[in-house]
Order: sequence, then structure tokens, then C-alpha cells
Amino acid sequence: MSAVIEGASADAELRAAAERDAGFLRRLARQPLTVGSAAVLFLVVLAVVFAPLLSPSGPMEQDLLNIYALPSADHLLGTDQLGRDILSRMLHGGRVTLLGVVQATTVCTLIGMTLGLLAGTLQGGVEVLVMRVCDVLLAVPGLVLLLVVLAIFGQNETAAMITLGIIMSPTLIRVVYSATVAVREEPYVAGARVAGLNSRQIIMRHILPAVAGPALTQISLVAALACLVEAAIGFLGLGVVPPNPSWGNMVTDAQQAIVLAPWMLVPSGGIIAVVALSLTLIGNGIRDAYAGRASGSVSAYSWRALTPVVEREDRRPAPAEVKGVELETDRPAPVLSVKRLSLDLPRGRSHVRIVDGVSFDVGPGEALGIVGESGCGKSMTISGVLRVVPMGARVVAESIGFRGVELTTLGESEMNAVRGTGIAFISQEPISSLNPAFTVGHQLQEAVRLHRGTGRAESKAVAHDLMSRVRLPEAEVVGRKYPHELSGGMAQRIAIARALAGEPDLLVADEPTTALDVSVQAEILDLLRDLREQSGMALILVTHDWGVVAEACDRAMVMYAGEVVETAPVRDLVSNPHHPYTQALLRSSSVGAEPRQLLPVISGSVPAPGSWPTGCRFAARCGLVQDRCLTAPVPLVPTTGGVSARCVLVPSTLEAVR
Amino acid sequence: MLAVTRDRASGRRRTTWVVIAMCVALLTACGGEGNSSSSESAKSDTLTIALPGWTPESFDLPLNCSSPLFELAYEPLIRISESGDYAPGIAESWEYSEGNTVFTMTIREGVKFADGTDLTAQSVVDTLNYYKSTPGLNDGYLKPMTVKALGEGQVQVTYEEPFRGFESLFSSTQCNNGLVISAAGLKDPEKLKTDMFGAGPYIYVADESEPGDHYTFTPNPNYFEKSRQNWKKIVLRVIGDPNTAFNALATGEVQVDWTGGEALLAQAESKGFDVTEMAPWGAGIFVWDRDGEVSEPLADVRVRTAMALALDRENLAKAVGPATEPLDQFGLPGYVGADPDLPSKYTYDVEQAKKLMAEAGYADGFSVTMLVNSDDVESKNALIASVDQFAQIGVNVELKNAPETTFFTDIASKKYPLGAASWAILGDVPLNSNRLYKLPFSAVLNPFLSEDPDLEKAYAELQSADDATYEEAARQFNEVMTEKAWYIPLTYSPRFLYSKGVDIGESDANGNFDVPSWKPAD
Amino acid sequence: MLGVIVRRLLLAAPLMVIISLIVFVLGSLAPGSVAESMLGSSATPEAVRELNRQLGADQPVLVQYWSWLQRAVAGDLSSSIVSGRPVTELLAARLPVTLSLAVGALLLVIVIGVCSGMVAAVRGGFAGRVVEVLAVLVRGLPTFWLAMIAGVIFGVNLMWVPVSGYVPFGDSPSDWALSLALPVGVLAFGEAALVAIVTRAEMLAAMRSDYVRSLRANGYPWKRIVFKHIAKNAAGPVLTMISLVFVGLLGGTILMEQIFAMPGLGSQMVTSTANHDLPVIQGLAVFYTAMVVVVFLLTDVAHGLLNPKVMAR
Repeated sequence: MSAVIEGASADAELRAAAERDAGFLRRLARQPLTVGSAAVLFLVVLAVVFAPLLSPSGPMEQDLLNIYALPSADHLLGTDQLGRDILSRMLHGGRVTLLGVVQATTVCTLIGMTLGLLAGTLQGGVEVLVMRVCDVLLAVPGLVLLLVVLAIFGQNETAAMITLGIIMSPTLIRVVYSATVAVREEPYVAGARVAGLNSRQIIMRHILPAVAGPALTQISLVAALACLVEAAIGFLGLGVVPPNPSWGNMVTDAQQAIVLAPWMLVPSGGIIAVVALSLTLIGNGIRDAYAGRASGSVSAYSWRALTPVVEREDRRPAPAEVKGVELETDRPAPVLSVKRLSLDLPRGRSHVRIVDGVSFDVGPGEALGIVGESGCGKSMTISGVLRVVPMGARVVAESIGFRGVELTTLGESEMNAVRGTGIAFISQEPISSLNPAFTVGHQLQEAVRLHRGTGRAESKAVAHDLMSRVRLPEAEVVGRKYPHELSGGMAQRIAIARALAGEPDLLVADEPTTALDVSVQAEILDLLRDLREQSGMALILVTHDWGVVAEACDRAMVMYAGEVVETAPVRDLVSNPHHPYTQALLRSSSVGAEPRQLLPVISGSVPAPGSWPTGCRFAARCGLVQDRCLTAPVPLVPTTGGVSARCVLVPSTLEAVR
Repeated sequence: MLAVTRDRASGRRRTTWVVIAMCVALLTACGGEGNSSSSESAKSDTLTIALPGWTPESFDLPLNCSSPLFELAYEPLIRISESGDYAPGIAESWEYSEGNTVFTMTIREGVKFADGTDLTAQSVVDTLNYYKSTPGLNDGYLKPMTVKALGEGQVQVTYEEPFRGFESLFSSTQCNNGLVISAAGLKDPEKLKTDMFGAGPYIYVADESEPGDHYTFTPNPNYFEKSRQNWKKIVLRVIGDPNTAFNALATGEVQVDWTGGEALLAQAESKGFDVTEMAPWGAGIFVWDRDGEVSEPLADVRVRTAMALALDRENLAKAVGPATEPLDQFGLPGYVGADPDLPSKYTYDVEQAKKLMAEAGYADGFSVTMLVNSDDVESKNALIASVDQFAQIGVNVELKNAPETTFFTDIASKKYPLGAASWAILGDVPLNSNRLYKLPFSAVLNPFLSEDPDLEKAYAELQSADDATYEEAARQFNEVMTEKAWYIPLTYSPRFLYSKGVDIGESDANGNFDVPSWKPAD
Repeated sequence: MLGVIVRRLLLAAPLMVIISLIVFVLGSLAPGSVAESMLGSSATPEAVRELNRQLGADQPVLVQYWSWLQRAVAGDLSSSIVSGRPVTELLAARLPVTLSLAVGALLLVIVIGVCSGMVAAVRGGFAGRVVEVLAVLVRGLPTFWLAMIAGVIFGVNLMWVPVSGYVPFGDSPSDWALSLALPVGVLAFGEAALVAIVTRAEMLAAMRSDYVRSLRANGYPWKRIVFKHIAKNAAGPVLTMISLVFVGLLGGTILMEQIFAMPGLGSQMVTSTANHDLPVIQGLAVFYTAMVVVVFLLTDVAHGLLNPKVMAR
């Protein structure tokens, strides 16, 4: 398990997975705006390069009888103060401006790529030196240094544009550097190094492709900026000397005629805007394509999108193939009763199902473990219950009953009232689950104040009490610390204390011990059990660790590819697993295994959401697969003693299917 | 006497142009003396004037040319009158000697500097000696002169050669050498760069000024002529862009738009602004390298003439502005020395120009660099347009921009065979004759120190002319100068000053006004 | 906290030295000499040599730099060749204009940028799209062009604001504000979208973070999460962006002062550039850098206050 928080990263991971097949260029080509911009830019460059052939007249050729003319068939963009054809001047002026852009961009790219890669790969002194140089350059107001250079070298465009390239390089250096550092840490690069590739080969083969996206984005932005700055220099009269045209001094001409011929402002400023805009849009397109998303989809993200759409499915007759299948609900009045909960996440313009019709109950004081490999939808299931989901998600359920209240009918603010006081939550990464910007004491007191409506002093007392309940000594001292100053175990105790602040009936813990050392794990599990015994609070514990399940849970629910495959009391499940997946999971874990025994790994991987098979979802990895597993969905069928399983090999299921 | 003659000559043309109501100016001029008794309360609040971009940042008088800036704080020996003529300033009267080598001024009595010290004949002598000993734009005029005080009341200036330009030199029209500086200023010339030490009607207020952007003046309590203090405050604002200056006038941010701009004439009229025509500027190209030191072809008069012939002045004039006219001789029409009957020597004729080029051995043309004053907005279009026209005869002119501040240094560097500055040709021929030609006066605008026997002869006649022969001598000089093509005229444009609610007089031959006489319109 | 400031200051000093050295060495490469510029048309070779000797301009560049640096540390940035005014006096006279522009624009950028960024992050949808489109647009539009158009529309046609010039605050606060309205508006328009984009991105990143998930799952009201917990964490990167924007704004003031005829450091810089007035150019370049360094320093201090981890580093 990597340290990535499953819930928070699931959408990004899924997107990347879904679009991994489509290439970078293909994604780029799918963005109409980027393609359009590139086409416009290409046409402009082409026209400028072939200006002597294309322009209707010479750039200096004047027609003094026809000055300040508006656009006409003879002069498509009109004429200027000397009757010169504006289009011709624009095309020829572009040669100056675009040459400047090329010069500045080239210099910037050379410096940025070289220094960025060097700093990223060589590290040590080079890294420090390059970053210092960046600091120095970043502190220079660019236009000021440009003016200095222009003052010194006369009106030398090339000197100015080279200087501009240097001034703009630190941002590129930093982009390349951080991309290089990121990829340097990747295992495959380390592998390549072990395999004997030298630095140059590694850079060419592994680092450059990874750096290309961010670098290209930055370079096109640099080019856009260079275009604007070149024009500004020309506008200030410090660039090319009239009568030779440049886009900048054409704006100056237009400024001088602003009263007589306001039209001149349009083409002169317009062309600069068109080129700079195109370059910016191309940069954005590259960024989006590299990040693997469709252009502009970012605007779908917002706080508002965090609130899921909740649909309540009416209790409807079960489909034919699952007829007669009902979860056993013989135990009295569960704290939480979830019926047919599904969760969809957005992908592109549509949604993809992540959790598929999960039902379960949690009795008062009961501890339910949810087990499975990562990507099976465990975290998303509890996210769906809490309605704390990634952006743009949709929650569909027949019913989510909590202490007799139907949660699916609640609005967001009513639901929020349930969270914290009814159901509390702790997450996998204790340190990052706390706000890094506030002391833990503050955060704890804030939770107390929020949930109990107490005053400042009382909140503090309660917070101290909570800290002692989670066995944190020296509450005063610890309370003054920031999350990053705490150990993982201490932070998790704080997180638990915070969750207890609302005196919840149900605590949801999402892999609460995964990130902790083994000894600390045991302490936290002890703590959870004790707290449960003291308060009678129910617990849902998401984990992939059978040891944790065995230690802390009464019942367990095994999930695979978004659905429940087996649920049973923990003891039964460990001793007598019904589903082949459960069996495989147990085999691959150390519970009950001999020490130092090599654990078998389940071959293959969990099918990605959206590409679940029609039949049994585990079929592809199952050693006992049969033809009938593949044809139709397999229902979850209760057997005896509170056990349910979703496999045709389980006798009762067999019956049900027939 | 000379001034009167000149006025008649130039006035003919000017009166046809002047848009502002003359009678108002006359009325106020008559009433001027009577108003002197009126107290502070009669003064209007603030006059804000938009000045063109080349307004000096430094107050170093020798290195700067005429500007309202100095006119307000310094009283000149000889003043520009409201009607654009010479009028008594510190010098109550003046006269030329026989042969024009000695110039004697009678100094006004009882004048005090703004700092309260007395302005005496000795102050004038000290000031003129300061100008003489300090590097400056008019070095050529100043170095050869001898200055002495004749008793308490008179100052005498002596030249070895005849010189007819004393009034312009000692007025505030021909740069600043007539401005009298107090002892405090002369004692510490470094301070002259950042502050003003004059006896003018106003005092420069450094605290409320930002050189290069705006300059604030308040009345000088020690000034001897209260009628010339019509405002409680005068603010000069530098607004180089004609459109911005015009807009500032339209929105009332300024009352006078000196930046002007011929192109805006119709707009100004339609908005009901007062339009005052100023002395026209001739736009033209100086062929500095007549000896061919840097650009050999220019030594050949045929090449210079060919360049002059290659220009379609009628159309150039149209490009510059609606009131611009073609110029095909050295002198500006309407001014002393210009000759309306002189047959055009530069009629547009590309074939003839090509022929001359071929005869001179430059059938394939040549390349040459031209220094351009980038602050000289007026001539820009004409110059750029002419570059294209020179290309017709194979002369490839490259422009090199220099701002006003480095323009002179660049000229003196002798790197540029051609140059252009529209303000260098204005007003009368005699004025221009020594500026643009005669050694040693013309150190600045004749950088290669070229000489020519025919010009020398015409010049000598002009400078020693008496009142009877003066105009004819000037016409003669005009003709020779035109013949030699040392200067390629392009166009001449009237310049316009736009204003609202201020009575403006007439400008002098150089385009300067008597700013202190401006007063609120009724 | 003090440690951060001291460390930053220790880094800033060499930075200033390096920048001034670069400008100085570049300046010494310029054709012509100070003496030639000062003597103008009366520059004879002898006079130039003599003046150069007096000014110490015949010394090696590094020696000259050392003496310049010594004087600069003592607060003497020497004088303009053109106007003869001490550079420090020029700075003092023109700084208020540039600061009014830059700080005014910065405040507007912060208000507009942060607010619209937050709205986009919280509401998404249309607001998000508007911010995104604007960010692209303003990056592509030349500000000097926009400024001219704005001048014509608001200054000339509507006559809401003056078209040029600067009124000192002391003269009339309301006229001061009016004279700044156009340039500040144009400047801020250009940069606000960048801040908005970063604000939104940082807030969105925080919204996906583990601690926000935990806060939501424990029933914290959304306002408290967004405006307290997310805001404090997103503020750091936004501040960094704002400090970079300030550097950009300083460059922008040069253009605005030029277009709106304002007597700031930028218009002085342009004039001096055209005049080859090297002492002023050097002094201004160093001063601009100093302003940037100060802003970076303030940013670092703010970072320290916002994010305890910075202090721990």
C-alpha cells in the first residue's frame, strides 16, 4: 500500500487509469481550442515567414494620397499615417517580433532545460547553486533589466531578447527541476540506473519524456510573454527603429493616430493578442493533455461538487436472478442499516460506478470490518454512507438508516449534523488528517466547541479529558504542537479524540493503523476496543489487514470490485471462508500462517471500475472458475449463522440461482 | 528698428493665419499697464500648460534651449513681446554699431532678483561671462565675444566679425543666453542644474515640481512689473503625446496645450478651443557631411541635388498634416530672406535625379545613416516618408534615433553624415544662417565645419548689412544655400497651440510666446 | 520568526550586490563615457580625459564598483548626468507615484483575485469557467494596448477619470484616487486572474486533502472548513503568487507611467534609458531589486506566520 490516501486520490487515479490508453498527442488532438490555436499560430508564422511573397506591397511603400484608409479590397487592413498597407507592415513587422520571440524562447529553453535537468539529476552543490541563481533572477524586475540592457547596447533587439530569455528562465528551470526530481524517485528510473544505464541514457529515455509535458507548457507561456514584451519594447520606442515595422511600433503609430484613425488600434494590438493568446491556449492545452484530462474540465471541480447527488432508489422487486436473496436482518435495531448503496464517480462527461449495491448492517456496539484489496471500493462505501466523497460523485441507495433516521432524505446541512455527533470518522494518515496550519490542541478544542456548544474554558477541559481518554499524557504540551511535530501514533490518538468529541454512536475508521508501526498499531487497536467497551459505540473499520480484523472486529464484510462478496462473523470467516476471493485473501495474509512462511500472492489485479465483467467479477483470477460464473451476475446469498457469500460454489447460492 | 522691419515682413503671412481674435489680445495689451495696480485678489488661481516632450529635465541654462520653464523664472535682457517682437526686458534699449560689431544695451534700473539682491550692469556682465566660459549650445556665438560694463547703466558686447543676431541671442528665443543669473547662482553653478536664480515674474517651487514631469511656479514678490503676474500659480506639465495633451485640454486638466499637433486642428476647432498658430517649422534634412568624410557621395553637389529632386513634396506635405505645405528653399515663406519668386530648384523629378546620380558616378546608389531627433514628433512623418522616396534613386537611408538630450553629442560625434531636426529651421534666414553655417558660431549644427566660398561671401554681406540692404542680403543667402543643397528642405508646417479660456499673444519667429503676459480670458 | 527574517536578509544582501554588480559591469560596457555625456557638444579629448580622471572613470571597473558600493551603502547613489539631481532625490520624488500604482494594483489584484478565486473554488461551474477564460485572455492581451483603449473610453469619451497625470495624495486624496483609477485598473486586470487561478487551484487541492475529508466527515460546517481551515493552508502559495505578481506589476508600472504621463520611477527609467543616463539607471535598477527583495522578505515572514512547517525547516 502506498501512502496515498485512497479516497482523496481515487478520482485522479481512476481518470489516469481510464485514459492511460489514449496517448498524449491524441488527447491534445481532441482539444478543439488547442488545435484551433495551433492552426492560427501556424498560419500567422507561415504568413510572416513568407511575408515578402504574400504581402500586397512593401512594408515601407507609401501612398501619401491614401492615408488612414479603412479596410478595403486594396488594403485589407487599411493604411497608416503614410498610406502604407497595414497588412504588409504587419506581416513584415512580424518578422522582427516573432524572431525576437524565437530568440528569447530558445535561450530560455536552453537554459531552463539544461540547468533544470542538471539540478534535478546531479543534486548536491549543483542543485543548490542553480536554485540560488533562480532566486537571484526571480528578484529582478524583468522590464527594468531589459531597459538597462537596451540603454547599454543601444537599440539592439537581439541583446534585449537574449536577456529576456535569461530573465524568464528561472520559472522553466524550476518546472523542469521539480519534474525531474519527481521522476527521479520513481522505481523504474532507479531500476534503470541499477540496470547500468548512464545518466545521459536515463535522461534521454526516462526523464526527458516525463519532463516534456510541464516544460512544453511553460515554454509556450514563455513564448507568449516574449511576444508581449517584445511588443512593449517596440511600443516604448526602444526596439526596431521606424520606418521599419514591428508589432510594437505599429501600436505606437496607432496611438499617435488614436483620434484620427482609431481603427489602427485594432489590427496592431489585435495581432499581438492573437499570437500571445494562441500560445497561451496551446500551453494550457498541453498542460491539460499531459495531466490526462479533457480541456477545461477543471471548472467542474468546486466545493459544491463535493456534495454528492443523492438518489433514493425505491424499494423495488429484486431482479429475477437474485430472487429470494435478502440479507439476514434478524438482529434487533441496527445503528446503521445500509441497503443497496451505490456510488458513481465522474469520468469525462459520464459517470462510472465504483460501489455497486452494497448492503450491510451494524448493530449497537458492534464492530464491522470491511476487507479487500485496494481499489475494491471499501473506502468509497463508507464515503458514500457519510456522503464525504470526491468531487462530482453520485450516491444511489435504497436506504441508509441511521438510528432510525433515513439519511438519503436529508439535505446536506442536516446530513452534516449527523456527521461528527452521530457518525465520526478517522482516516488512514493520522498526520495529514489533521490541519497542518493549526496546533492539535486548537483543533481538538474546536471540535469540542462545535459538537458540544461549550465555551472556551470548558472546551479546553473537555479536550484535555479526551486526550487522557486516548491515553495522551501531558495534554498541555502536546496540545501546543503542530501535527507535523507529532509521531503517527500520537497524531492518530488526537484524531480519535477529535472523533470522540461529538460522542458518536458509530465511529468509522478508514485504515486507521495502516500507516503506523506494528507496536503502535496494537496500541491503537487496544485503544479503539477499550473506547468501544466504555461507550458502547459501534465501529466500522476499513482495512486490508486480516490481523486487524481478527483483533478488533465482530463481523467482517469482504468486498471485491465494488460489491460485497462475503460477510460473516469474523471467527467464521477466518476459519471457514466460503468465497474463493476470501480464501485467497486469507492465504495471502499472515493470519494463522506459520512464521517466515512465504505468502502466496493472488495473481492478476482487481478489474477497473467501468470494466467489470457481467458474471462473477473475480472469475478472471479464480482458480475454480466455471462456465456459469461468466454468464450472469452472481447473487449474494445468505447461508447459515449470519454468513452470506456471492459464489456459485456455495451450496445455497447454487440453489438460489437455480 | 530691425525688429520692426522683421515684424512687417513676417507679419504679412502670419496675420492671414492667426485664428485667435487679435482685438482681444490688443485690448488686453492696452489694459496691461492699468492692471498693474490691481492686487493679488485679481489674480486667477492656476494656469496649467501642457508642454511637449522635450522639456528639459535639467535647468542647466547653457545646455538647454528656450523653454517657458526658464522664461517664467528668469528675466531676459530682451523680451519677446505679446505680438512676437523683441521688447525691452532687463535691457531697456539697445543699439548696433556701424558695421554690426558692437552691441550696446542700457540696463533697467531698480530691478531685483527673486532672492532680493540687486540686478546691476555687473550682474549682466558676470552672467554673460559665465555663459562664455561654460560649455553650451551657443558656444559658437559666445566664445568670440568680449563683454564689459559701461558705468552703472550700460553693457557693451563686442565682436571682431559683424553679427546681426544679438537680439535673438540675448532674448529668450535663441536658447538661454539672455537670461540673467543672480550672484548666488553664479557662485555655485552646480546648483543651476536643479534650481533657478533669476529675476523673472515667477519663482520655481521645487517642492511642488518633478523635473521631467511637472514644474510649479508662484509669483515673484520682487518682480518689477506686476501686470505680468496674472496667476497665483503656473504649472507646466510635460505631456509629450499630442493626443493625451489634447484630451487633457478637453477634460480641463490643462488650459493650454502647447504640445499641439497639426493633425488635431479640425478636432480643436470643432470642440471650440482657441487655436493659436505658432511660427512654422521647416522639416528638412541637413547634409552635414558635405566634404564626404564619412559618406563620400555627399561631397558631390549633384548627389545632394539629386536627393533633393527625388522628393515629392506635395504628397509629403499631405502626409504630415492638413496645413503643411511643401518647402523647396532654405528660407521659410513669410519670413525674412524667403523669396516667393525664387524659381524652384527642387521640382520633383526622379528621372533628372537619376541622371545626376549617374553623372556623379553613383548610378547604383549608396547607403547612408541619418540621425533623427526622436523627440521631434513634428518632422517624423515627413522624414520617414522621404526615406521611402530616396529609395527611388537608390539612396538607402537608415534612421538612427537619438533623444533630444543626446542629440547634440551624437551630432558632434561626426558619425552621422545626415541629420534632421525640424526646429533647426524656423523663422528668418539670418537667424538660420549663422546657426547652420557660419564658423565658429555653428559648432553644433555644422559638425564637420564645412565651408564654401560662395556661401562665405553671401554670409559676410548679410551680417554687415544695414537696414536698407538687410532683406536683400538675406534673400541672396537663401538662394546660395538652396543652390548648394547643404540642406534638403521637405515641408513646412504651421504649429498650433490650443487653449481654453486663456488670452494668448503671438509667437515670435522661433515659436516662443511671452508666457507671463497670458491672462484669463474674460 | 526572527531567524527567518535574519536568514532572508543575509541572503538578500549578496543578491543586491550581485544585481548591482551586473548592472554596473553592463554599464561599463556601454559605448561612450560619463564624461562625454556630461560635456556634450564641447567634449574635447583632453576635457574628457580630465573629467574622467576627476570622476575616477579611468579606474578599473571593479575599483569603480567598490567605490560606488561604498557610497551606495552610505546612501549616496550619485547623481544624474542629465539633470544633475542626486539619484536618491529622484527616488524620493518619484517613488510615491510608482508605489501608489504598484501597491494600489496589488491590493486590487488581491481583492479581485482572491475573491474570484474563492468563488470559483466554492461554486465552480460558471464562475470557475469565467476565471479560467479571463486568465487566458489577460495573459494574451498587451496591457499597454488595453491601457490606451481604456484611456479613450473612460478618460476621453465618458470623462470619468483624468486621461493623464498624477495628483499627489497630499494635494487631494480624491483626485489622487481618480488619477490612479485607470492605470491601477488596467494593471490589476492583467494580473488578478493569475492570482484567482492559483487561489482556486490551491483551494481545490486543499478540498481534496485528507484533513478536509476528515473535517467534513466529522461534521464541520462548510464555512468553517473553507474560510478557516482551507484558507489558511491555501494562503501560502497564493502569497507566493502575489509576490511574483508584484514583480510583474513593477514592470507594468513602467508602461502605465509612460502611457498615462505619470512621474514615477518607470518613466524616469525610460527617459534615462533613452538618455544613457547610467547613474540613474544603475540606481533605479538596484532600487527596483531592493523593492522586490523586501516584498519577498515580507512574503517569507507571512509564510512563517501561516505555515508552522516553514519555521521548523
